[in-house]
Formats: sequence, structure tokens, C-alpha cells
Amino acid sequence: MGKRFYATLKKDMKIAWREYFFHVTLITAAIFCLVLKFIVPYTFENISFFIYLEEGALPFSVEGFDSEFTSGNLTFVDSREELVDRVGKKPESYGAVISKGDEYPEIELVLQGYENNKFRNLIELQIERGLSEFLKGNFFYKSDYQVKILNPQYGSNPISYSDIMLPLFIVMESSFIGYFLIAVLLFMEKEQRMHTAFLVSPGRTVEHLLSKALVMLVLGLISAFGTVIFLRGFDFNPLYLLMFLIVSSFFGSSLGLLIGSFFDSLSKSMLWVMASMAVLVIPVISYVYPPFSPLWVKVIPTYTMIYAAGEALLDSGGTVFYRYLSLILMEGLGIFVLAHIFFKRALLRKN
Amino acid sequence: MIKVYNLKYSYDKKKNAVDNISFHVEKGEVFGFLGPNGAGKSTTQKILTGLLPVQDGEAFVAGMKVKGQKSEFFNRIGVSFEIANAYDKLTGFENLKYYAGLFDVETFDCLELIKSVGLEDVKDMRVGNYSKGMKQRLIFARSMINYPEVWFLDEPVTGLDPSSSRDILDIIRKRNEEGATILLTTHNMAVAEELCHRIAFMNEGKIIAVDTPRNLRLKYGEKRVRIEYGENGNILSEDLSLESEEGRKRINDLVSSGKIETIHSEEATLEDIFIELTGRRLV
Repeated sequence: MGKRFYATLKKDMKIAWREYFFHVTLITAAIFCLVLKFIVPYTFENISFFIYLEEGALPFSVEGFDSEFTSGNLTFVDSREELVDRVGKKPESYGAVISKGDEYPEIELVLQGYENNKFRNLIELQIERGLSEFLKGNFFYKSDYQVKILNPQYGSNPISYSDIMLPLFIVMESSFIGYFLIAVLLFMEKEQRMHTAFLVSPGRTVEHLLSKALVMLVLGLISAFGTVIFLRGFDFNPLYLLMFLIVSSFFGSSLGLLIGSFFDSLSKSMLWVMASMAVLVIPVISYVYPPFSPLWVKVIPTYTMIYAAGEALLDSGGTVFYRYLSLILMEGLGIFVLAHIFFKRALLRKN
Repeated sequence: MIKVYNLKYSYDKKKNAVDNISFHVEKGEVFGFLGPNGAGKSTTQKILTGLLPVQDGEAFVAGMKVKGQKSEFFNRIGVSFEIANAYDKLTGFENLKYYAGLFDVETFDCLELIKSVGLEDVKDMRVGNYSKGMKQRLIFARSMINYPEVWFLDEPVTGLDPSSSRDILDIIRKRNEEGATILLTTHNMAVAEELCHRIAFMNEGKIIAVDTPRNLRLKYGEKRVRIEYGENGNILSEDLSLESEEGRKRINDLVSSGKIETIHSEEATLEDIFIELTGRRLV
């Protein structure tokens, strides 16, 4: 079996390379990395806030600055016009004009224009927090609540955008590379009538399919590890990520094998590929907007996968992670068995 | 080496593509299936190689039942297809290396093998850039990579130039001399006549005659002569049967007249016999 599997794997690797699968994987990962690294701000800490404090706006005097003054990511400017001008010139910046109100100071936010309500609230809180820290509690910010840390092992580092986006990328790109590409490999073999040559050889279909799944795993590993290392350095447990990718990539590849076994060509399968992908993407909504998590969404395998990827990156290694992995593995095995049965049937049917 | 009993196969459950055929092939024999397209030759070969299931009847190849074959079965057979199939993205040499890796038995040295079919100069070229003839030679080479005991060849020289055809036919003969049993499917009567120890004529799913080419000719062919003679300054020719009274009388008359310029014996070709048996042409 070892010799046969090695020969098949070597062949599949060469074909994947010559069909530019590796190139496409690397380019996709690179684009994702560049977008997260240089276009989407890494955290709120990287965002600049400009403040114009009108004279007498606060019921106490603020010492330490007369004109422009910078503290952390807060910059105090001299006029409202200057504030609007500087926010307009820097896309990753927001501003606040603090003027005298009847009882409390009034804050006018100056935003870029594309922010939704949720994001506006976050900015508002951030400005409040920043001002409060700067003014050492003399402001209207009230910390009248306590924070209880339920999972201290997660640490208290601020979660960045890339932390939020990485599980999505790892699932939808690294784990599901096989979903599309493995089907492409099968369609190519059918087109070249290689199934007949394979059927009259001692080669076994399970090896034939597993070899392709392994190629997809390698692509997934390159994509996921490259992206995570680029964005987070080595601040993750590679063993958890490896375990997650082995299981989730197997799931994605098995699904691709199932599609590839049913149809003769990519064009014939496209409707089903698109439809199934639309379903698989639904849990992304739940991940981004957690209140939308009905049971029917939770049973979609990608729901478990996204949270398992999150657990893998958070280095939790808890029972939840292993439970998620077991679930994905069982689903993957079930689909692989189906794919194997249908692939064998399809091979014979084609003659 | 091959035993087939009452084999039937239908693609649509209405008409039998293979209709209750029985035959056997001895070890070391080259057995040819001759018939026009759609006669059931390729379907029979596909059943015997496991590409199609046995629906009815029984078949044995290399002492093993052709149903639910295991890897041992495929380690002992080789199959060359009429339509060339190879990985376009791999080179000719890589295609052979991959295929050799699938077998558990001793395999040919891929370099020697690719040389033997005249593809040495293009061994590192991707198969996608091969001509049809090159692909045909490659899959022919691939089919014998495991020194098959039973070798199934489906139209092995179709699409090849005369020189390449000659090379391929020589290889087939050599492998047969080394002990391989060969089942050859073709509609090329010259190939069948040159290689086959016995030939089965197939038509509409049935075997209508099985014998050696010589016996088939003797049994079904008519003994004839072609005579050219001069008359009134012109050269005339006539085909005459040696088996009819009228033909023999006419030959005697021409011999007596002393006008004969040439006489050639006219043997029936396999195609003539096929036409006589079925009323159809081979191609």
C-alpha cells in the first residue's frame, strides 16, 4: 500500500503544482495577509483620535497643553476646522469636538462616513475611555461595574481584527481549498479518461482519493500557517492548528470528492457547488453577529469549524476544542465513506 | 488462460451488446476478436478486464473468476485502450513511473519501456503536447509495464504510421513468444491475420465463427484464380472459381487457347469471409 500511495501522492502533487494550485493558494493567502495587515487597522490602538476641546467645555481646567498636544492615540487640535481637515486626510482616524453643554459637556463625533451604528458606539466608548484615562478620572466616565474574567487563560490582550477574521479565513480558505480543487482534479481525470486506466490497475480507490485529500491538506497547511505566522507571529499553538487543519481539511476534501463523484464536469456541478457553499457560509453570519445563532445554523458543519478554529488559535486546548474536532472528524468520515461509494459507482458507470 | 461461458451483457436491458458467447483462449495464444464497430468486441474485453460487471454467465482470466477482482487479478493483466488516456500534465516518463508504482509485481524499467516504443526523445515532454500516435504508443507501453500474463489489446495500431505499427506488432509478437497470452480486439484484418493464432468473428453481440485464419479461409473461402489473357490486341482479365464446373471449364478453355499472360491464385481475405458470413463489411 505504501508504494502505491506514494506513487499516487507524487503524481497528484505534480499535477497540483502544474495546475497552479500552490500558486493560487499562496496568492490568496498573501492578499488576505496584506489586506489585514495594511488596509484594515490592526486594533483600535492603531486608530488616531483627534479632539478639539472648546474653552470652558469642561467644568475643571486641564493642565498640560495649550495648543496641539498628543497623548497615546489622542491628539488635541486647536479648532474644529483643523479637526475636520485632519480626520479627512487620514482614513484610520476619527474625531470629537467637546463643547460646553447645559449640565455635561457635549461631544460631537467626526467620522469617516462608512461606519455602522455598532462601530460608532465602539468609537464613542473608545473616545470616552481615552479621555477618561487622559484626564485621570476627572471626566464623566463612570466605572460603576466590575469585570469578572471567566477564562483567565485567554489573557487580556486586546483582540484585533485579524484575530476575529483569522478563524473565518482558515475555515473558508485553508480548510475548504479541497472543496473546489479536489473536485477540479477529479473532473480533469474524468476528462482525460484516466479512470479506465486506474480501474484496470491494482490501485485502490481509497488510496486514490486519500492522496488527493492529502494534497489539499498540504495546501491548507501552507495557507493557514503562512497567514497565521504573518499576522500573529508565533503566538499560537502549532499543534492545535495542525490538528484542526487535518480534521477540517479532510472534511472539506471529502465534500469536494462527493461533488466530484456525482458530476462529470465543473460546469455541470457549479449549481450544486454554489448552493452548498451558500449554506456553508451562513455560520459566518452567526460568528460576526452572535445573536443570530438558531439551532439550524449550529448544525451546519462550518459553524463548529469556525469556533474550533478560534479555539485552536486562542491556544485553549480545552475539552470544547476536542469535542468540536471529534464532531468534524465524524462528519468528515461519513462524507468520505459516501464519496468513496459514489466514486466507485461513478467509475463503473462511465464505462 | 481465458474461459468464458454464456456471457451476456446489456447496456439498456433491451438489446444484448454481448449475447450468450462462450470461448476459451489457451496459454500463450494470440486470440483475435474481429468484427465491425458495435459488434460487441470491446464490451467483451471490458467485461473480462473488470471495467464492466458480469451480468450473466461466467468468465475466468488467468485462473481467476472475473467478478469482484482483487489486486492480484490486476497485477497479472495488462490493458491497452483504443482511446489514448494519460495524464496530460505529466510527461510520458512520469506517466509510466506513476503507473508502475501501482503494481505489486515486478515492472519494466520505465526508461527501457519508453525507448521500446520510440518515445525516448519526447520522454520529458508533457503528454498534453504529444500527437495522437505518440499517446497511443505510450498507453501501449503502459499496458505491458507489469509483464502481464494476459494482455488485452484494443486496436493497438489504430492511428499509427506504418513504421510505428510495425514496431508495435513486433513487440506484441515478442511478448507472445515470451509467454504472454493475448486477446486482441480489432477490425484490422491484416493485423489479425498477422498476429492471431485463432480468430473469433463477432457480429451483433454473437460469435459467429472461431478458428485459425487458415481454417477459416479453407472452410468459408472460395478457391479462385485470376487470369489475364490477350484477345484482339487487348488485355482482358477474369476471376474464376475452381470450385464450380463452369469455372473449371472456362479455365481449361483459356489454357487451351494459349492466350493466357498471367495467372494468380485468389485467396479469400478474412473480410471476404466476414462478408460471406454476415453480409456486413468489417469497417
